[in-house]
Amino acid sequence: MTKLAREKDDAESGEPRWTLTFEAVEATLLGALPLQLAALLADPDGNRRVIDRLFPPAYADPEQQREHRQVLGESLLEARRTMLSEVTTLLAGGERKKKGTLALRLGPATLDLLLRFFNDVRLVLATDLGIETNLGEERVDPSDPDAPRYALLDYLGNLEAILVDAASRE
Amino acid sequence: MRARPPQSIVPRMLRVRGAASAADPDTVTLPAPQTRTAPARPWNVIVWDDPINLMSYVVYVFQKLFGFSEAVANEKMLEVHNEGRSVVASCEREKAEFYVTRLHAYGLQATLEQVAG
Repeated sequence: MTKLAREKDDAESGEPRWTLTFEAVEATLLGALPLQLAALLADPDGNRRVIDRLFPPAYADPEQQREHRQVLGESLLEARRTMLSEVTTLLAGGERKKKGTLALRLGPATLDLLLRFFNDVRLVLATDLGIETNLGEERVDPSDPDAPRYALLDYLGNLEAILVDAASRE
Repeated sequence: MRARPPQSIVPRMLRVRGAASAADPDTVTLPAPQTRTAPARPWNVIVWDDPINLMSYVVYVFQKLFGFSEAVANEKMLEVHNEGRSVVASCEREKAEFYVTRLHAYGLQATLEQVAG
């Protein structure tokens, strides 16, 4: 079970600090996600629906959008790749404790980084699952082949809620 | 024999007082440039409803990007949720594009459109 503990503020910057601890199984799962997302970004044409969700149009007008995409498209992709690289570094830099738990020391910037990452993964999952209406409280049938992905969506949503709650207390 | 003055490369109709001798019959006076111009119409940054993003996450993003108080961020989030969209900023185009790009980086659906004249 994920735990988030508030630590003492950073002595130099005065910024808040937290320790986010994952169970071994969670750490393994999360550690694989940046690579999977990077693989999607590496093949935009083969993952068009997901890419369109991660990079939605900025303009309703098709001509303005085409120009916008032409100017900024590659830099937006690059920014996402950079984000994934930063997440990989953050996860790799965590402290491994007994029974394989992983402890991450977070400040406001890294907490924000994780939030964006978790949200991106949720968007990818939801797009892939074809979710187009607000999710209710109903439980997914465990025998449903998509049940594991719904469970991951739910799990990441809970993680996001924990992190947002922590950030909003500051 | 008197030498002819060199021909100007400035088309005749574009010469203005001061660019040639006042005695030059080709010189014309253009009206003074307008110093008062209509202000450019601003661009709205619009956030659209999305079934996946958590409400608390949207509030967090609004506070982070726009510096809204929690009350205003909540109000804007509820507007998105209940009405399908909310204008979260109104500014010049470059800034609006910047905001939309940042909102997209956080996974929110956002567009910019110029305020109708």
